[in-house]
Amino acid sequence: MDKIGNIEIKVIGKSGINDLTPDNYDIKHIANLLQDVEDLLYPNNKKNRSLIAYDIKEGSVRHIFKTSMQAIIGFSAILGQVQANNSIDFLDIKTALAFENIQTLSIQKDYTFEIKTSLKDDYELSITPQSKFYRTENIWVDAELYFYGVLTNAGGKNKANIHLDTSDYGSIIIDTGKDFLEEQEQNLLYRKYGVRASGKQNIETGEIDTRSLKLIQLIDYDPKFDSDYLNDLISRAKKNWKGINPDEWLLNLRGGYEV
Amino acid sequence: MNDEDPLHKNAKGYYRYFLENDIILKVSTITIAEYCVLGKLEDLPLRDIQIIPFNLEHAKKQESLQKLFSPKIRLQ
Repeated sequence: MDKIGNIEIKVIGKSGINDLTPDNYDIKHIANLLQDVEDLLYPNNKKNRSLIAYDIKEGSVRHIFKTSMQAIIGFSAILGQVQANNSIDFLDIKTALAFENIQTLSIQKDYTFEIKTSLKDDYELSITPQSKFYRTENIWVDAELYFYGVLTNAGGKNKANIHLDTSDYGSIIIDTGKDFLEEQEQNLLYRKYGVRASGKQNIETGEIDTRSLKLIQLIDYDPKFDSDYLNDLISRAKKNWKGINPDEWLLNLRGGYEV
Repeated sequence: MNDEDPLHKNAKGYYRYFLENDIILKVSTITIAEYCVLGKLEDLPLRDIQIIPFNLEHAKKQESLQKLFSPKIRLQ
């Protein structure tokens, strides 16, 4: 078996009154599709991905992508599963988004996209203006989330945000609004923070949509044993716990059932 | 957070050990809710502790946890 395989995405439609050809197909659609195909083939770890080569051919418009056979085999399996389930809910978010982008273009321009790999002779998936390759919205729910890490960037011309480098999620971007950043008097960069944010979470997989994050609160987080800090808090907190037996109190609070 | 509690010294010793050995401390929002029945949020050393929220993702795991930790409770 060859080590290189290919994917063909055939686009059928009209440009005005003429059938679509590479001569009347706008580069904007090509640029978007290139990005979508990269997300479809390599949703994660783009830095270490194999080369993806590209060619455009007539009939109507045929996009040809060449890359490693391993990625093609994986992609063919995804196409088969999407076709069989008629759903993209089971996909990782980046892959699902790429399908949604193609579906949206199909509806907007009345294009049909037929997708196949070099593993099969027939087209494996068709995306048409009538198909509905969108995620079921209600499986993404609002969640309140906490992230901890080092703040590495703050700003943005149009969308104000902060970048937080975390050990659990890598570098994540959180929308803050310009007002929040304008009001900051101290330098935020390269300091440890906790971020309380709202965002979307998948109820089946627990996956967090890191593009949906919005800042609720920035929390000072710099863990180190500091007697003065702790003793100051204890001297204030202990007043509320005078004469309380914490075990009895907690048992009573929890309803007294056996654990 | 009460130095008159008989176990305070032990708790503080663990706390110090964890922080000095780069062991991450975490507290759930449910525990914070219980604490805040009598205490105040601003009295907790949140500069040292990460917060774990309670979302739908956690709620759906309740049944299996309940069976594990409290088998005597009859589940419907």
